[in-house]
Amino acid sequence: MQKRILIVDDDEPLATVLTYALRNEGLQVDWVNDGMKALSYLGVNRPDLIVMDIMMPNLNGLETMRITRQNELMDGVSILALSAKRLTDRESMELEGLCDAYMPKPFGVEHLLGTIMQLLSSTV
Amino acid sequence: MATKVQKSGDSVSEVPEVALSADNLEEENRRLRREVKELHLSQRVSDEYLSVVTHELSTPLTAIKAYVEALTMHHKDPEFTQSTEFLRVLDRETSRLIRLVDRTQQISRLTNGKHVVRPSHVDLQDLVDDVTDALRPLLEDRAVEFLSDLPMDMQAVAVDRDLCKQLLINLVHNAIKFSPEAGKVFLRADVKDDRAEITVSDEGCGVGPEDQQHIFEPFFRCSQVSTDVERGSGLGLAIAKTIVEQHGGLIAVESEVGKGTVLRFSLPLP
Repeated sequence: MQKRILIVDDDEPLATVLTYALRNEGLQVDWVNDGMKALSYLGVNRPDLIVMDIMMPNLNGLETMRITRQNELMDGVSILALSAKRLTDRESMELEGLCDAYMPKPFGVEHLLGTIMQLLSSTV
Repeated sequence: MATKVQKSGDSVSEVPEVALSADNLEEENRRLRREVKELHLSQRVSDEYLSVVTHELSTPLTAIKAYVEALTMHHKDPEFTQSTEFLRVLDRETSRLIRLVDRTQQISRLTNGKHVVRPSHVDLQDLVDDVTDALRPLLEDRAVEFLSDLPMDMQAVAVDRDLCKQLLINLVHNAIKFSPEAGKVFLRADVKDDRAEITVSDEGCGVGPEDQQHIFEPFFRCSQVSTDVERGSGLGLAIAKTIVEQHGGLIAVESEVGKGTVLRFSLPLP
């Protein structure tokens, strides 16, 4: 069955090219541009993996992940966090407990795809 | 040293001098401690600024790298039809990066005093007309009306023309960007305390009290902002504040969420 990815990032150009690259790998991809829209999406959808940016307006990535992790229906959904922001020690520690992998921006798409495929292969 | 002075009768006259030296040393120590503290603070501010600049540069760079990778990998594939679209995005993103670098350099030149402010008598109506011309495409695109109300007795302001044109462009551009479609942006001027007091107001989404405290900081972005609004460099208001300060003025924000925002500042009169 085709695996489903949700991209949560307010940077439209990046989200567009990531969507293209992931669809090219045979994955189903949806994109929302802030945390509030991600929570609405997750209210009715269960993706296999979420690619989550940290710095976003309205509801940032850390808060969105915190709420998502409390939702039992999202158990087993992998989260790959992305950030261009240098994280504080406190943020890094919190992030470690919330996501399955973290990639600082800028990154290469090949590297991102490799990490996503690895995470997907470990999801049920 | 104090013990030696107490034992020697000849050295009595040295007591006030030694005491003074000790006082001086204590004062010098306090001054040095203050300086070290200030340097630490300034180092921390520089570190934070560098961290924010790095973040802002990383965002377009990530997209640029991803598009270059996609084009490199697929441009020879006959089924790949997005070359033109991807090249357009690359052009836009590199322009965004260049704009960001330009503005970062500009703010640095302004705050380090390397940009010399050259005031002259500038006709305010001319300046407003220039701003309207520069922003016409955006005004038409957003269907926003830009109205100005300048007092008859205020012919000119004593400002650096180029800097003040940029100041007004930054403020009016922001006001248009956050205006609802078919909204109105007003520029009003008045004489107050021997200076020209100018306000730029919009009917946009407004800025919350918490965000108002940080709105003039470089790269600050309001927490509650529609993701449909085009992302700017995050330096427009910081540059505006620096320009106003270079003209001996202050800039302030008044806003109510859902009702609009007023930016108030003053410029010198001839």
